Amino acid sequence: MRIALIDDNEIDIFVNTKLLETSSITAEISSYLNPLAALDELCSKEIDVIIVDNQMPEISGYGFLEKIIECKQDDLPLMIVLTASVHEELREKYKGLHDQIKLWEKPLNVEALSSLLAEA
Amino acid sequence: MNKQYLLYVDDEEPNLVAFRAIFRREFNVITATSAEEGRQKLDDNPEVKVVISDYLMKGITGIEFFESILEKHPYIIRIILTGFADQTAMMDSINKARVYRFLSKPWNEYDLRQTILSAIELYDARKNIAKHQKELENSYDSLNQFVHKASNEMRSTLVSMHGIVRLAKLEDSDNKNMNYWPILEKGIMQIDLQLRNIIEHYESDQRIGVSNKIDFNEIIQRCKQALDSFQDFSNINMNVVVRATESFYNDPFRIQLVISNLLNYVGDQINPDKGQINLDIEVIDGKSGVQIMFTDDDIGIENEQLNGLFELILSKGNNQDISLYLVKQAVENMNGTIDVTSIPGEGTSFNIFIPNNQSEFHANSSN
Repeated sequence: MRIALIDDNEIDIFVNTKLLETSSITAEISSYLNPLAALDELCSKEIDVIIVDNQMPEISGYGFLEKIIECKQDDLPLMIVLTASVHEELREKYKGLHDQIKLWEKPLNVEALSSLLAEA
Repeated sequence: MNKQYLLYVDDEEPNLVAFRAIFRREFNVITATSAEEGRQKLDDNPEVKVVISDYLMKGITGIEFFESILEKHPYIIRIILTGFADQTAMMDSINKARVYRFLSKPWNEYDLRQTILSAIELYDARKNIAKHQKELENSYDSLNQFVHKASNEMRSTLVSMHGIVRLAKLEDSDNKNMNYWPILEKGIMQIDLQLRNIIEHYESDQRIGVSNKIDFNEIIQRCKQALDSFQDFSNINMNVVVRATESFYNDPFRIQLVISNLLNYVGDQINPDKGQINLDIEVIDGKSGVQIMFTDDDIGIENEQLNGLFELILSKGNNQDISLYLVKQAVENMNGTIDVTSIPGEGTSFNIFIPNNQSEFHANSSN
């Protein structure tokens, strides 16, 4: 299992990495503070789960996943967007991009992630 | 000091000449012999602060002339000169043309000068008020935007802190400090709720014309789940009945804001000594909208507190809950109504009406 965390906030990266590490999920975790660098790397790398922050200065979570969907096409990873608050409009917007995208509130809910992975 | 601009309109040329001879040293006197020329001169000279007009002119009265310039030049102060002995008929027109003063002809130089001077003063004062009003509106807007932005930034930091606390709870599970983390977490979530309220209030105020189909059961469940982590509902037997059969359309964001804040208010008010209380949440069809009722059998609210219940009272040492203020704002933004009745010792009932925007929805979706 390979999980990528993309967030411009260092604390959130730290917390989410730790939360994943201490959870029952066994995974190789890669984290990126710079989403553009992450895009470069992830497009040419196999990845199972992408957890991305909705709001980043260089590119939004939406723009980020748009690019991921473009470069991954048939081999789409599980896509989770984290945001401080979930709005109906934001949910619709992501649904419009891809109906499998999950929009979750911060901080990352590891239990929900592991049951999601169990379903898959 | 700069000479102030006046316009004098009179169809009798000699009056204009006499007026100019007397006042030209003190004021910049512009004259016109007809209403039409007067309007033209006003357009050409935006500096004009006071217009003096003869009452009886060829084909038009001074009042009619004033009415014709009201919309274009709302700040200009208007003075009528009249030879009529009986002025009562004209007094009726004061409101229509908003005439500042009537002076009788032939005019007295001293009276006319004093009237012009106070008219200029009034003009300047009105202009000043309008300017301040505009500035006030602008700063109110920027303050709102600032609070909105600051709240979002504070939330984002707070959410990170929340993550740290969660992590600490996990890693520290054997330690005796364990008890501290949930207290800290609860505090963080309470601040977070306050910040969310501020953000939602601002966003609710800004929204126009959003109309979607509303699923009340789903919204009520979602609101309850969102509050569950820091609001203890274990003492409340919640009974939800949704009997709205008609499709209901409105702004889901505002509906959610209303329900979530009412739930939060009820949760905050519960008297722990009372034991279990019942909360009935009912949504039923009403005339061209829905009726939402929150009825509890808690200790109720005293009459004198009932009046100011929905007001935002920011006084020192008063940890006022802004939930009900937010509820009322959101309901009013949807053109709905809210009222509350309470019997001390028996319970409280909130009754909300929200109009159905179904027709608007169809209108929107067809274009």
